[in-house]
Amino acid sequence: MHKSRPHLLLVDDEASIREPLGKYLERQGFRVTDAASASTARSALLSYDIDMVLLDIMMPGEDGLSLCRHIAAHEGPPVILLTAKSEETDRIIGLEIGADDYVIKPFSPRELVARIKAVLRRISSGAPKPERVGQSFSFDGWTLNTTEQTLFDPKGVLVPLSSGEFRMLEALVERAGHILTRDQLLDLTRGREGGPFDRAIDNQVSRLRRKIEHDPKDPQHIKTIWGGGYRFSTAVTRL
Amino acid sequence: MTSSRTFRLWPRSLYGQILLVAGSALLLAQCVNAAMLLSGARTRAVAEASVMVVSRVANQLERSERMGGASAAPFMAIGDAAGNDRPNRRRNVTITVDDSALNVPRAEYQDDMSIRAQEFLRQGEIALSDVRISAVSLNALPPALRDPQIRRWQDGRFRQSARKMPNTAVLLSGRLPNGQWLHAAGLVRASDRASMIALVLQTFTLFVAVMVPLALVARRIARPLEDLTRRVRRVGVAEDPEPMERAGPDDVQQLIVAFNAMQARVSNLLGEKDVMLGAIGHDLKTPLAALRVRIESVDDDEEREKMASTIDEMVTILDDILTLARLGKSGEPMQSVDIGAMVETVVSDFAQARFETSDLRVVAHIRPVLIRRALRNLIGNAIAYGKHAALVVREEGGMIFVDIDDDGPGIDPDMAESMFEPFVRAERSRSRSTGGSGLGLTISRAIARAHGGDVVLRNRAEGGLRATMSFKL
Repeated sequence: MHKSRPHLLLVDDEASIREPLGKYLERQGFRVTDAASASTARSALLSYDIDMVLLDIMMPGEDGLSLCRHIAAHEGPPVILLTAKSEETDRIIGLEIGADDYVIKPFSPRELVARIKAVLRRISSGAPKPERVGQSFSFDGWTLNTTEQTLFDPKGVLVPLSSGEFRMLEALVERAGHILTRDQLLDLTRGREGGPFDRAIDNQVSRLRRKIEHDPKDPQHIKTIWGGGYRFSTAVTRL
Repeated sequence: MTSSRTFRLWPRSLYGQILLVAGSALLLAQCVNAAMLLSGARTRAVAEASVMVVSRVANQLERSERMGGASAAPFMAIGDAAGNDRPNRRRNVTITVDDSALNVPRAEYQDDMSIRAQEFLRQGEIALSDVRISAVSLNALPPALRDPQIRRWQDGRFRQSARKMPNTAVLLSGRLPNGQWLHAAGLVRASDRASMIALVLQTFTLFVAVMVPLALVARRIARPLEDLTRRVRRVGVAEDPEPMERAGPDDVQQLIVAFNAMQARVSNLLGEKDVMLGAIGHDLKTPLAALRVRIESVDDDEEREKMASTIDEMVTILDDILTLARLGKSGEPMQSVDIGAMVETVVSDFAQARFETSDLRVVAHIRPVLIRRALRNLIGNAIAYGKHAALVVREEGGMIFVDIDDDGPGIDPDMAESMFEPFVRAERSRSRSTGGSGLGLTISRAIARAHGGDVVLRNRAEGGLRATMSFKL
C-alpha cells in the first residue's frame, strides 16, 4: 500500500448505511470521506486524493453506474460497487463499465474490507486491472466470453459451465498450444472462493470434455499429455 | 389426453358442433324431401301412363265401332300385337281381349285413376264397363300383354327418357258389351335419373346456401372465443399482452370488451403487487444492510455470527419474494441452452447431488438463470429432507423432464399440492430446521409454469420423494 491510511470515498444516499460503515472502515484503518449523492462525490474526487470509491448503484439523481462510468473514463481511482440487486445482469454491467469489484447488499463489512484490500494490493503491485471488456475467444466455432462467463457452441446454444469449469477452460484457451501441469491449472483456476477443486482438476477436465468434446473418449480440444498435464490443441482466435 | 386424438363422431368444438347439427338436420330434411319427391314422381308417371293407356283404348274401341262389329275389331289389334312386329308408333299400349278378368291384388288398384277413366269413357260414349286401372309389376302381366311391351322397349324408342327397363306397367281392365274382358297395358316410364339429378343438385345447392354462411358465422364466433381462451390462460402469467381486438358478433364483442377490461384490472393489480413487493424488498434491504454493518460492533463472536445468519435468512426470504414478484416480467432473454450441461453445472454445486444422465445432449429454449434457480431449489429440498439427490433428465413429446429423487421420508400424498403454496413446509414438528424461505417450491413451480411446464411431487415406490420439473423444449 502506498499510503498508511488509504483514503476511501463512500458514496451512498442512505445515511443509515453511510454512517456506521464509515465508522467501521475508519476503525479498520482507512480514512473515509462520505458523499450522499453523485454530485457531492464528484466534487470530493476533485478535492481529495482518493484511493478508492465505494459506490452505491441505486441512488436518486445520477446513479452509481453513471458515476462509475465517469470515473473509469477519467482514469480515476478504483471502484467497488455496492449493489442491492443480485441479478447477474447488474454484475456484468457494473464490471463492464469499469468497476473493479462489487459486493451485494447486505454485505458483510469484513468481506468488503477484504475486497478493498485485495484491489488496493493489486493496484500497488502494478498488476493490470483484469481486462474484462469484450474479451472473447473462438475455437472450432465455439465462443467463450470471459466478461459474461458464457460459452456458446457452434450452433449458438448456451453451454452452461460452473465457475470452476469456466476458469479452467479460460486458462486452457488463453494458453492454447501450451502444456499446463495440474499444479499450474490449480493456481490459474483457484478463484476467490478458493474452490472445491483442490484435487479435482482431472474431474473438472472430464466434465468439461463432456460438455465441449464431440466424443469425450477421443478429445480433440483438451488433450491429455502423458506425464505433463493438459493442452488445449485447437486453434484459438481472440475476438 | 390420448383419447382426444381418437376419431370422434361428436366434435368437441362449438364450430364443429354447430356445423354437425346443421348438416345433419339438413340431411334429414333432404331425405324426407327425396322420399316425397320420389313418390310424387311415381304417382305422376302412373297417371301419365294411365292417360296414355285410356286414350289408346278409347281410340281403338271407337275405330272398331266405326268399322262395324263391336267385338271383332279388338281381335285384330290383338293379332297384331301378339304376332307380327309391324312398326306402329302408337303401339306402346298392348290390348288383348280375354274371356276372364285378370287377378290383380287389391293393393295395386288405382281407384282414383279408375274413376276418372270410367268417366272419360262414358263421356265418349264408349261401351266399356267395370273399368279398373292398376299399377302392376311388369312380371305379373300375362305374356300376351308383357312381351310386346318388352320388345317395344328393346327397340329402343323410349330409351332416351330412362336408362333402365321400367318394371311397372299400368293395366286397364274393362268389360266389353259382349261380356268379354279387355285388357290394356302400358309401361310406366318414371324418369328416375332426371329427378335424382335434380334432387342431388337441390341438395348441393341447399348445403352450399346454408352451410357456407353458417360456417362463416360459426367461425366468426369461434375464432374470437379461441383467441380469448388462449389469452385467458395467459392472464397473469405472461407479460401484459395487447388488448384483444373486437371481432365477431355483438355478443362476442361484448365479451371481448369485458375481457379486455378484466385483463387491464388484473394487470393493474399484479403491477401494484409487484411495485409493492419491490418497494418492500428494497426498503427492507436497506435497514438490513445497515444492521449488517452495525452488528460488526458486537464483540461476542458467536452472538455476531448468529445475528449475521438471521440477517442472511431475512435477505433470502426477501430475495425469494422479489423473485416471485418479478417472475412475470423477467428481463432475462430466452436462450437456447444445452440442458445436460446446465443440469450438470447446477448439480456440481451440491456435494450430495448426483447427475445420472450426464451424457444427454438436448437443447431447450429457456431463461437459464430462472431454470437454474428452480432446479437449485428442488435439489436443495431433496438434500434437506433426504440425504442425497439423484437427477435424471429425459425428453418426451417436446418437453424436458427433470426427475429429482431423494431418499427422505417422502410426503403425505394429501399434502402434495399444498406444498406448493407459499410458506408451507413439509416438516411438521421440526420448525424451520431446513431453513429456506418456504417459497422454494412456489418459485420452482412458477418458473416451470412460465416455461410451459410444471413441478409435481410424488412418493417413489422404493421410498423417498420424486420431484419432477418439466418445461418446453
